[in-house]
Amino acid sequence: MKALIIDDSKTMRMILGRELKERKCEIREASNGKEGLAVLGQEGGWDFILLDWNMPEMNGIEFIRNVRANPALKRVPIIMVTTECSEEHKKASLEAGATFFLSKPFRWEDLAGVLDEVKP
Amino acid sequence: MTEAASLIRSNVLRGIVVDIFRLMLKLEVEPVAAAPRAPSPGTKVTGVVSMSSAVEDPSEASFAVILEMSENLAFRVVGAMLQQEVNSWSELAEDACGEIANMIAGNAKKHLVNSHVLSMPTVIVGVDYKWCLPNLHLKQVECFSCGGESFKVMIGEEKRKTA
Repeated sequence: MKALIIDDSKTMRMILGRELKERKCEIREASNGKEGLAVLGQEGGWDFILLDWNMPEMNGIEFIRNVRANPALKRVPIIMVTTECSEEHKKASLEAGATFFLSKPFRWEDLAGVLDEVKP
Repeated sequence: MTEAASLIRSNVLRGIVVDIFRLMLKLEVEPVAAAPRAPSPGTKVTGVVSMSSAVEDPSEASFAVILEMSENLAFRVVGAMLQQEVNSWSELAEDACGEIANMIAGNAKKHLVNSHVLSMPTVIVGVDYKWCLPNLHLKQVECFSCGGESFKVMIGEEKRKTA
């Protein structure tokens, strides 16, 4: 599986990446939505995207809207992993086009469960 | 600090911190009544995340969440998060401290003003410094113990401006 992790925190990219590598995922990283769009445009074959909400340059919601407007990417599952944890944020995220919403802190088993669901 | 003066119910804020350490860092922390003694004079680490209205509104209060611990404890906490030994400061170690402060702030925000926007975390590392956030009034201090060392989580409020 091939995944893109978008988070402005290098720590979060690292610990999420570690989890994905254990699942034999091929990983790319970006530190904000704008950079994420650029990475998506350079390559193909994406299986899913792990996405933060609050980031400089382009936040997670704007990123989702851009991805969903692109016919080539509109079906790629997006898992929002964010410190925003209210029902309103979850609703806004899913309405924008996120496939799953996981708020931090999360149980690693919860992330594993979501990853099982996005398996092609 | 009395319960009445707190911005968030004490047990709620304590639960947030305990969950973050347990779930994301696999570290057990315990709320304590107060820091048992003044922090030792060595290097100190402070992570700050503020939250304010997305639209400039002078009637809306702003808040900040401040996480403060000794360098020793910060190394242990960051090491647990990164799953590697940490014994010196790096951009990554500062980022990890900032991310912990960010998670506490994100969860606390739900109980303050959910529509507010979180700032990027700021991390201060130094010896014998005092931080000061203009117009911020410290409203709540919760103390915790992690492996015998104490740390603090504080919430401050920037007063609404009166007309």
